[in-house]
Amino acid sequence: MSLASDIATVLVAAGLGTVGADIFYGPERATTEIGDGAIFVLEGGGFAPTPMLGGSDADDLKTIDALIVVRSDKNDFEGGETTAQAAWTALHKQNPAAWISWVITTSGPAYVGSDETGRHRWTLTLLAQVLE
Amino acid sequence: MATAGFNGDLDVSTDDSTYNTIGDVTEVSSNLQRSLEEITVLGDTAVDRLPMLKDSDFSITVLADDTDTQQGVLDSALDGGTTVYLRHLYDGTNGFKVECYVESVSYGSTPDGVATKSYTCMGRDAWTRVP
Repeated sequence: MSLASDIATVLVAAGLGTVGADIFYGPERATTEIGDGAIFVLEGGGFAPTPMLGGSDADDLKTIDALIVVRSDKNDFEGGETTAQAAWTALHKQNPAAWISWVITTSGPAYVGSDETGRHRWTLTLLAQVLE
Repeated sequence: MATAGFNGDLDVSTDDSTYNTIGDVTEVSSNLQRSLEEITVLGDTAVDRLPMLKDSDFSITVLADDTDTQQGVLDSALDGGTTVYLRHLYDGTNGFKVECYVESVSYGSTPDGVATKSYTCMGRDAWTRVP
């Protein structure tokens, strides 16, 4: 089970793109092979786990974070904002059954400015909990 | 040698024979105690006390899991007013067991957290140290 791949699956199901075409794993990249309008999903280490009693074989309650970056063409701020909001709606409290919860840490996508070529960017930080 | 807290184990039994581990326990605190009666009399130069009855109790916090059979055993004991046997191995090997009543369970739900249950159990007999 990978948080990044599960997030990508939800984003695809929401009609926000296709993995490898406009949804990508890892940090935002400026490479020309990726179009201006794209979503990047980067899984992080999260917070300290809460161990369950029972020794080394017992489960931990893990809280893992993921950073989702939505990028749009420099002339399509509205389109990018719509996509970012749709991603927020698709992800917040919409965890697949294997996860205990998914919560976005902001009440909407956070606009973080444009890159050096003027492309607009929004971020979502998702906290996921799982017992494993 | 000190032992990591996560090595601890909490088991429940309905017959003091077969014990099963309660799942998803995040914290357990157990207390063994004996009440003492003061018997100081005139002329004594220090307080004297007489040992009285043993007592024990547990505070148990778990992640709520309706599929965990052993959490269900605690719930049924509370509902039915029946006893269970709890065995707390504080380092995974050493500890004690005692017959208990489940006195209460508190449910916790926070929107950004995990649903929890907190049990309070009270001993109804003398404890037995194990192993």
